[in-house]
Amino acid sequence: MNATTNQWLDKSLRLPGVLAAATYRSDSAVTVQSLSPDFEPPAIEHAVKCAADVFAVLRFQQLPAEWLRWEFEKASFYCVCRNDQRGLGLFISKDPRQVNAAEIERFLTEFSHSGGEK
Amino acid sequence: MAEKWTKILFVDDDTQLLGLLRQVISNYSNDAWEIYTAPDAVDALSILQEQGIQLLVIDLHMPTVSGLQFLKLLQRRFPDLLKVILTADASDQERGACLEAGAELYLQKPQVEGGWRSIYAALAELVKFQPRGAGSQRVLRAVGMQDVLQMECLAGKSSVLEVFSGPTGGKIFIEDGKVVHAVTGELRGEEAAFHLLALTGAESRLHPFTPPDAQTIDTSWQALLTEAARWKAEQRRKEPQAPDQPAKATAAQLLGETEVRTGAPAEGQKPPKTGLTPAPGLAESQPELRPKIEEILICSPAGEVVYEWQCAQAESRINFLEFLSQKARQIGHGLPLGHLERVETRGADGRTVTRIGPERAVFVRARHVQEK
Repeated sequence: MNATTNQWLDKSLRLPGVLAAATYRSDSAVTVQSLSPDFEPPAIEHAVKCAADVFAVLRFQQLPAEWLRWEFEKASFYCVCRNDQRGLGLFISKDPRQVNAAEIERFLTEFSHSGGEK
Repeated sequence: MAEKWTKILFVDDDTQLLGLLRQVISNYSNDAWEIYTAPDAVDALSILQEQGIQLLVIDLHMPTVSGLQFLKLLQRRFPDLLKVILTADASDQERGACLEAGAELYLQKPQVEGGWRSIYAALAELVKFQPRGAGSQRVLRAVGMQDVLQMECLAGKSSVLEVFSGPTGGKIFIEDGKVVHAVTGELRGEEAAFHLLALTGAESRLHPFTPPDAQTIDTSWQALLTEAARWKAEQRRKEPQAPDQPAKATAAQLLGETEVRTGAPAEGQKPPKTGLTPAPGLAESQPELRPKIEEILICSPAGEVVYEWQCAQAESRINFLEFLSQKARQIGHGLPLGHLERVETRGADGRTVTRIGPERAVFVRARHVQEK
């Protein structure tokens, strides 16, 4: 993976409440970083690939989306898919004291609008 | 290395390829995988019923029963079976259709023999990450009489399918894999078959074949099932619906729970008092947008429509809910996430919110409109 992708990962891990992050490319290559021992890279990689499948099915359903949020009982899973089919997935804590939702939203928007970068 | 118990079945009408697959996958797995092959869906079905297959790899383009048709059938009959599609010419549209129909992977056939190693690697990874055991929240259609009929016809069997729902009942006669006769009350032939196949909440029972007193049907079973589905959708539209208001309130509430990102309330919702951030993809230059509900679908965990409003493709949406619940289970595998509460999608034009609960699944689609 190139430096820019790694920069996105590094930036995402500095956001409050982020437990783990991953980027993926259209060729299914995934890069993972985790801040929590409970979020092991192989499981995160698998989750991100599953999310990529969801974007494909949403297009098939005529429900094109650039943003997905899975609200689980203990954590949220945000995924963004850019026009160049690169994606970013973030696992976020559900502890409101740890999370700044607006900051995460801004970060995801920034990633989403950065399409076309290498 | 892959676990010893992996039993894999390849289905492809190209028997030469099946021979190659048997050899290369066996090598890559160091003989740890037990490999089965079948040239068509009929043979595959009998292997699936007799062997404890964990992983099924299907060629997409097969004559008679295509890989996609086979996938849809298996999704209900074998929901925990891992299904993978292999195709010579991949397309985004087909990929979406196959994933939605229950395929875990959609892979392109390699052009060179060495390419099978990466196929093996993808299959091994899939086996490793397959969640086992029933999920607590799933939309998963029960095996219905349509599936039973399809299985009997595919396998070329002869039997009598007895169908009943409350006081209504009847019989569908299958001879050598063809539907030859149907009867319910005064109705006979195709009309009787449509009536029986469209019954809501019906139960069915298979009996040994006994010759019918007449042969009234010569339409293919595929055409019969298609027509019966259309007939059922028509009947549903004619039935009186539950009042719209409670469902719309549920939908508005579901959208309202995610208001922090939209900057405006859904219909029937009070404006939030929080400092709001525009949604990703909805630029800050469009802060005055509010979600207008355009579609609502509520269904049971068994995939029966409980309520729909402006949902033109209920069947397709239920497939989507089935797919989402399957993916949620897979995403949660190996991660401390707990149960799924909600899935939200956001696009340039609108968003969807889905909640899959133990008693029902709710799907809401809303479009962003300018606040007046």
